[in-house]
Amino acid sequence: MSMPAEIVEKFQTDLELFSEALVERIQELLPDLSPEEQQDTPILMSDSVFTTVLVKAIAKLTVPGFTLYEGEGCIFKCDVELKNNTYIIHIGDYIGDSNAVVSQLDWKQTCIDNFTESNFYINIAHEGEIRAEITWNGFKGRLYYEGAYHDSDITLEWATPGATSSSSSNPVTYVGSSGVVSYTVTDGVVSVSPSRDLCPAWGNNVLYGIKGYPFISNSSDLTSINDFVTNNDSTNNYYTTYTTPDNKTIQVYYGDNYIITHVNNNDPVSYNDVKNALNIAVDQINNDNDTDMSVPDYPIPEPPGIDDDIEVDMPLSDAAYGTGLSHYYVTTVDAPVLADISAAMSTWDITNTGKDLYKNLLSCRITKVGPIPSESSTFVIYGEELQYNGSPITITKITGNPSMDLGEYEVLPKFNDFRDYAPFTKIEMFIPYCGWVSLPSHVMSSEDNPKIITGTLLCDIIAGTCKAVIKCNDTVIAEASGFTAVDVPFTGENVGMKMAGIASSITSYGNNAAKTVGGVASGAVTSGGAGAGAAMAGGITSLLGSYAQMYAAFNANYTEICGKTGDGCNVAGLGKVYIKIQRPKAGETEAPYYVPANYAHSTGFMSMRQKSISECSGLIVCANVDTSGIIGATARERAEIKRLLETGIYVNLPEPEPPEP
Amino acid sequence: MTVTLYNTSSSVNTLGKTKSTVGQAVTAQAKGPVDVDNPTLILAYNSVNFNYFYVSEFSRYYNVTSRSLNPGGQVVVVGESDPLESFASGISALQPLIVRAEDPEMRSPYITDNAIPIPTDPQYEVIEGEEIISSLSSGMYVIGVV
Repeated sequence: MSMPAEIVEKFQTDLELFSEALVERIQELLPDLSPEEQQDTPILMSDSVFTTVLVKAIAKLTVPGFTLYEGEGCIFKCDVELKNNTYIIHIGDYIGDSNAVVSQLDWKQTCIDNFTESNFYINIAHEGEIRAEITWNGFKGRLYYEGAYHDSDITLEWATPGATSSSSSNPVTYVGSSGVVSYTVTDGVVSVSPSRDLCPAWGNNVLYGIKGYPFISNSSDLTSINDFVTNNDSTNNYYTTYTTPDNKTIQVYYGDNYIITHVNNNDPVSYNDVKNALNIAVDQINNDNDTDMSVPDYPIPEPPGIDDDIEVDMPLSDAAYGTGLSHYYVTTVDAPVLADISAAMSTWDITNTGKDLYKNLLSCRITKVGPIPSESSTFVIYGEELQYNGSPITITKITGNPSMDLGEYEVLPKFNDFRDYAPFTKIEMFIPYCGWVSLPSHVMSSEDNPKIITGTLLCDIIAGTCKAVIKCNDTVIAEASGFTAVDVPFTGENVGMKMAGIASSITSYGNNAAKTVGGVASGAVTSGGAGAGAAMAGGITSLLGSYAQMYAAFNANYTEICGKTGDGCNVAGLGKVYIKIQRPKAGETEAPYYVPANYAHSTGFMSMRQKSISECSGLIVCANVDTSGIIGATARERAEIKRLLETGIYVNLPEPEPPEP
Repeated sequence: MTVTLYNTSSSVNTLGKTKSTVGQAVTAQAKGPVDVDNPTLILAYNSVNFNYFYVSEFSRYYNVTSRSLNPGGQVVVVGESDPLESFASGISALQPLIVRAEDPEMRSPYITDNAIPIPTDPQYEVIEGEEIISSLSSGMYVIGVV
């Protein structure tokens, strides 16, 4: 065991300050508690002795069920050892009880080194309501624990990746490298955290609990928010989204017994953002008259696609409806010509089964993104498998959303000076479906600092929307959203009308001129059923040529546009990614600086450096010259020297002689 | 007093002027009260082939502002103090903030320089990227949501 005396002293002082502040704050914030309740708090028992404070401020807060007896706090043994550059504090060995609880708290030596620079937060809470926050300048890094209050035996120890610390009676569960910890909390909580970003070092999914209920006990890593939801509350949960000031997303999940947040590892947020999200969630719950969290707050959608005057083929029971929606799609490959569309729509033509698909269609869209993750599946409508001639109908089912790589790009500088950056140089990126997006000029690459721009277009295939995420060296620098699909409007009037509507939209999608398909659509209505698709295909095919021409025309290169393509642009717009760089014109001046040849000698380049004039040569222009060090000059001469230096002088001093060896 | 005569082609605002000596040091007499900053001296010299001089008694260099020949053949010269050269050693030791510099090594290229002429007519460079949305002939999806 070896711990520097100054660290011990500092530790002692900080704990005293912390303890005193906590006591004052609790008394100030919770005056409604009875003396017994206050007496029951570990904080009120503290004094200024190192071990006592340590036990009371840490052990009591970290060891559930740990009982402190008034006046005996100081007899707990605290030991500190240094192992592998890590200080480990052992708390326990309560005299007279060989089975005393032992808890280990350790933190890195580097955190000790930064002792005075760290921040520590504790939110004081009671019965689920956060009442205030205490900020304590003290520890940093490894040592985190939730504050506890009143009957709240709150446990939180943070397991850094690779940590193997454990305790026989401490219920903290270390969950490997995911950084998820367990709570055994019955009341009061709290979120305590380091003053740094959460995600990068905290594993793939950061789950932060609040409201003081057990929320996880998992022996393996959590890999998704669904793991958590499934393990804890599979039916009555919903979430809202909190957007941070810098437009990052924190999902706040509400369950019967918990509120948790979920942040994406690829989009780190700060601790304060998580705290704000949790506080907002708590406020919402406190302000909600209906505090029964088991009642879902989201609206139950109406049964789909059914008008009042349309007979429903199959009564929908709650149970059947509760199975959720199924999403299916059919595709056309190559050119969407007669055979493809006819075949596609024939797949949907299952009216003779008695369970009319068209009357149960929620919506229909056509889109051109992909490849869409899919699998072959039986056709299920509201829990019932559709059959044709006694055999299940198979159809391609969407199993995920596509993401499209936007490629890699590098923007190189031209001037290698300030003109390569804003406001002199502007960089914009055209993203299909999303339009033009401004990029910050710091994406400019250079030999000693290469920067690669990448992007991904994330598509929501069911909603027909997309989001483009642009990164520079893996840091998100821009986002954009757009629409990838064209809605096919229809009602539940009859099969023929619906198919006609679909075919009509397909046709108008293809030629971008909906008004030309009237005749085709009317033919479909007359034919009805699967024949409708075939009846329309000729018109569709004939229109593709004109579309191709229009598309090719749009796909030409260009250098400047007036106005911008908005997010409504789809396949009728450009299908490629473009990066447009607008720079000052170099004109007739020459590289490397693209300024007049005598610019350096007559005007000088910006320097803003402090240097001895004896080490300069050529033109220099100085600022606010202090001539007080020039001995023997009159005031007029000093003023003249100052004026000359500030308007520019040419330094032509002889080279200093090299020092003698 | 003793005056050393020079010729210089360096500009007035040059620290470390290039000077060539003209003859030997000459004696001079003051013409009336002498203003150290702008002295008028009668030189024991009969030519005007100099434009710069140094007065050792004043420890100062002077730019010649006017020269004239007396009937006796003496030169009357009017000078103006050159503080840059007169106090070159003190000035050289200064370490001021240098805003602009000719020396490329002193350049800070990423500080905005409003003196550089920037044409208002911009130039454009377009990087054509990958085709994300292929032509219509490669197909599209019809999606039914049930």
